[in-house]
Amino acid sequence: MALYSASNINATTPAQQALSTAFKTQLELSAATATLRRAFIYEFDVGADAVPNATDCAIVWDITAQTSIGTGTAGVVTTQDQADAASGTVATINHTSEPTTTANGSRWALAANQRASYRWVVNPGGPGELVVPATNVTGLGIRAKSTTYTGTAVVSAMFRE
Amino acid sequence: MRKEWLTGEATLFNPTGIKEAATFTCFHCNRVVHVPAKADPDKLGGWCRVCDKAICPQCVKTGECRPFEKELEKMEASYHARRSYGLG
Repeated sequence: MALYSASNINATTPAQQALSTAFKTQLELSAATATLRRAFIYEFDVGADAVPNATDCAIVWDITAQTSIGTGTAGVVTTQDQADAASGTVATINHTSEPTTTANGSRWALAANQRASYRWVVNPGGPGELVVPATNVTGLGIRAKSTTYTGTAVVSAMFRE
Repeated sequence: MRKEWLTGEATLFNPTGIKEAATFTCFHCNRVVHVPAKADPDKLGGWCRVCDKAICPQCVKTGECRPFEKELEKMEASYHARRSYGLG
């Protein structure tokens, strides 16, 4: 199986967006018609990468199903093994306009201290992977928001096809 | 003894220390459910006796077996049908 990784800083000009009180999608993995296939996320990591706010606060993280791409920067998906073909999954990062989310489509949520980071992992190949459907522009978005922390965040995801 | 239905591991790196928990992914809705040590089993969800898989508390309340794979198939079939009609 081919393994890939993507993050919201893996682009020539990532254009990270500062967090705000509304969710901002940091990384979205979606299928594309030309290369339609499912993606199975087996690991993701999230954390803040700017100076913590002087007032201690929380960042709320979320992975939710999305049915559009929104407006963001094209992320680069890298192969874990260079012998594998390029990924058919599209990574869009650091959105300036939010994608459409599916009602009650949250797959994971966490409220953590602004100085905390989090990692989730299952065996590649499953069971337990988060699935990106093979439907054009439909996918999973890793989002973050905070009432007080106004810096940027880094998220990464590793998936197989 | 680790249970086979606990498929994932979550680690939270806090300023005050590291917290780890096992996780499982709901077979009906694909949500990640954390299983901390000594967690109350009643709050973790349940076991679907139709598909024989672990499910999250929200899916337990539905009382139905709706495996996520079936939802994916419906979603993808609907998309392919719309495409065949030229609706993208």
